[in-house]
Amino acid sequence: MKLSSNTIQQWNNLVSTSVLGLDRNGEYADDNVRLEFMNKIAALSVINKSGATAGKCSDVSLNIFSEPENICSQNAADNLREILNNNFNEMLTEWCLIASSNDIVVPPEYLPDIFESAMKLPEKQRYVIQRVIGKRGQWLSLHNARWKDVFVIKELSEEQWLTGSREERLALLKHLRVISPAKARGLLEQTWPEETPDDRAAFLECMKAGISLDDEDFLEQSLDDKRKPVRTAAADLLARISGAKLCQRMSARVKELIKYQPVQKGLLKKKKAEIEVTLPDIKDKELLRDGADPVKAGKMGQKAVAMANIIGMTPLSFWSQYESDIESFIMTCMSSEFSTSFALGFSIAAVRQQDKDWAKVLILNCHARNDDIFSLAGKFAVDISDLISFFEDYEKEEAAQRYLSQYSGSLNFAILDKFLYACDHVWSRDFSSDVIKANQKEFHKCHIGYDKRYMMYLATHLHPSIVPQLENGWPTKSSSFNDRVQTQIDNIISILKFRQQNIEELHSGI
Amino acid sequence: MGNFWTTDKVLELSPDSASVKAAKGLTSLSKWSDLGYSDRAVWGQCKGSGKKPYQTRIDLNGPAFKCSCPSRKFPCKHSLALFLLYANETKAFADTAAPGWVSEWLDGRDHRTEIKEQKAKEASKPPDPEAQAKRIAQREKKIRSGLDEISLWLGDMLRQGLAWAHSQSYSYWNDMAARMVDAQVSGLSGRIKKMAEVSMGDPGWQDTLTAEIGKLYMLIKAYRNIEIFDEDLQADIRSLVGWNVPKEQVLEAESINDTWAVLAQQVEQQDNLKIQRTWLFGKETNRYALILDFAAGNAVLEKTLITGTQIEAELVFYPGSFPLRALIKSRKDNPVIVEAIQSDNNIDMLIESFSGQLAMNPWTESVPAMLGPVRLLPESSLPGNEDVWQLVDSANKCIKISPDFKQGWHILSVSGGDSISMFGLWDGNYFAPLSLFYGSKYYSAVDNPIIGLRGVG
Repeated sequence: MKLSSNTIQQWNNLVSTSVLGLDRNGEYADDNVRLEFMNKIAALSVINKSGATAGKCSDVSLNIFSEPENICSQNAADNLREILNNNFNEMLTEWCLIASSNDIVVPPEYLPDIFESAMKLPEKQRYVIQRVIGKRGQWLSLHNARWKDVFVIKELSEEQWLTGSREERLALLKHLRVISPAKARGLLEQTWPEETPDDRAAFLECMKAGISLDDEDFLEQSLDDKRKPVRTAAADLLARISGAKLCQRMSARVKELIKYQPVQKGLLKKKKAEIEVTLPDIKDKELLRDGADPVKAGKMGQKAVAMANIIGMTPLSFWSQYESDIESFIMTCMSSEFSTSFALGFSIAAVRQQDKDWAKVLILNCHARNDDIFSLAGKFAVDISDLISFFEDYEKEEAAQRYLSQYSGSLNFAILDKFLYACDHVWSRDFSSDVIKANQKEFHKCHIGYDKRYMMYLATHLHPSIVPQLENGWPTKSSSFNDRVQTQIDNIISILKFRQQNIEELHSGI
Repeated sequence: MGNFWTTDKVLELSPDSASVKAAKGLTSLSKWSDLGYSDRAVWGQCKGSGKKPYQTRIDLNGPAFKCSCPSRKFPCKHSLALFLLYANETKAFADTAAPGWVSEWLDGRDHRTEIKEQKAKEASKPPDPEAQAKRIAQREKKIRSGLDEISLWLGDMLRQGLAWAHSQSYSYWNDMAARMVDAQVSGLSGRIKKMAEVSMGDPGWQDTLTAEIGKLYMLIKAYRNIEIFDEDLQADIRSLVGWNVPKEQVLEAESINDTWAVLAQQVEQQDNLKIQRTWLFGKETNRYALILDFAAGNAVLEKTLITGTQIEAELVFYPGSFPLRALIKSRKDNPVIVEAIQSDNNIDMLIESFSGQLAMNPWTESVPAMLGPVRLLPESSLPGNEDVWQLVDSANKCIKISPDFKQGWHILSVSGGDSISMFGLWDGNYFAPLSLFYGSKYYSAVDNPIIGLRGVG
């Protein structure tokens, strides 16, 4: 039965009258009329309810997905549920990596929850989720507008450069820079004059991948752009190309400004290496065009910052003509009154040029020695995490292990934290063991028991097989080792055991 | 040893997620000693912080739990852990005679059951008819006076207008609801509280509140003229107003033997009272039954019915034009995993049956129904609309899914968009899914963050 328009009209009239009140309508002054009104409401409320009809579905085209997939065991799924319920994002990443290496996917009933968890993860971590959602996950996310953009592997076409959204164009440019840098640059040159300044700066950011001398002419032109963010981005890119004219111009400036006198070995006396610095003219228009921005940063003056920028845009290979031993050269520079400019400039250059040799020496001789070295540099500060960001995981661990062995007994846990937080992967057994030993040996300085974030970080990054070492070796008789510390160590152990069980479940297959 | 109990079923018994976490931490065999089982029970001793281990035991006929730990949670983490171990590490349990501390407890339980049955028999003896008639007459008087008061209140509200009522504070509604409790018409009190909720929070409050007034007025009028209706509708009206049928009287009604599938279980908190609604479906009789359990304050709800299982049981129904509420008079042994139910009820049949039900009892709020084969589909693929769901049958007829339903994507993921049999409640506007069968598996669609959507079977 379908409700007639007359019934609907009657009901609407009754509702309007009820809302406004019967006293406003002279028609309802009589008691009997009011009772009749109530009877009508009663009758029509039932008629309304019983009169519902089924609709006709206009779109039943949703295709059925029925492909079988290798789904993980129920125990592994239970562990995943616990990880999702507790928002253990690091363990989620670990779960997904092990599952994908065993070619197994999450059970269908977990897909929506894992999608929602992944939406909260940083973009670069989402790729691991993509590997365990299987074809069913791809199919499901296609039907949800929020998940579709994140989890559906999109075919990128060059047409999108002209027709796509800003995000699609950025994704296309990033993708093309990896497989065909020239093609990507060509697309960008084609539409460059019409792009907004914000977009121009964002597009240049995408060019870091595949950067080479072929990009130089385009980037040189961008140094004359009206907008500063575009000029800064172009200068940063040019400084990554060691043969670029900008680097040569910077090298020439360095030659003028920095005089170096290497170690002189006399018959009787050895004279130390010396370095003499003349700060740059910050009104030099050519220097400004090249991006050596003389802004004040922290407590560094404009000239000191400009000097750091010049050093940061000079190829690190340039300095070998002064001194072949990187460590000796850096130590000489650090004895100069402009040590902060040198430390900052060398660190920026090491990151830009991804020079691991320089980075390792800088870490141990500048950053590990004094965690306050960049307090003067403000927003320009370069951290240990920046310097090892381009290292392989094992190289990151080696850098931290060098610090642990070189500074054993006098560790600065604020510096150790920087290494550990930069090692954002599951640590090897050896490295885990070294970290635990350091915490046990210098327990009075470490954060165990006092910093919950640190405890959770250890629990999710230590190698799960390290449990026996965690169960013993603590200075339990020390006055600072109390019940709270023991509880937190027990928590780490129980999470590590959970991870171990999880790994075993996932390796045992479907 | 055939073990019916799985991790999921055990976790369903958990009082909260903290207990699950604590119990999982105790599932290491190294913490347990003297693990054993029999046809009736499971037991073990768990190492705690004290010198003596905790003695934990489970009566599988129930299940019922007992532990020597001081926890106030029920079941405690030791009981849950023991049950989880039994579900997953059955080989670690010795098939042996129950030790004294287990058998004594089981004997005590049996003894208490006997006493309870004896008391029930005694209680079923007819009370003094004269005293009873007097009590009923007194209550009737109170009810009639309550009905007069609420009629006046409704009339005043309508005269001043619902817009005026909408602007009133909660106490306007709450005071009248409290007066109806005093007048022993708790059913009407509940309706007034519902009206308050509609007025305070429903975006379409004008229509809903008008309809609620209509139904309340109709109920008052029906009660005043109750003698003109047939017995079944009289029972409905009396129940809606607040008369309870004594349990003993219900147990005397004709019982129905069947294999009952436990289709769904919902727990709702109302003030200080937990209400558990368990939906059963008789596989031979094709009828639904609703078992209600209540627990006040910190008391624990009985968890003897496990969703995704079926039991052989004898049920008795409360009287009414469409009897749903039932009591379990007796049941056989342990539950077994439910066998899939393939429905052939389409959407037109559902709507027709609801209209028929409304014709018999115009206060019907919703009806239980198993629909199938149906597809659960997002109503639109437009962004922002993806959480609006519909059920579509094989004739492409569709009904809307309740906007409160949160498991749409989980079910779509499990079914792959394929046809399912879905059980739920239809209120004339929306279908509220409670469970489903896909292939041979049962899934509870009631939101459960501890175990999520999980297949059984």
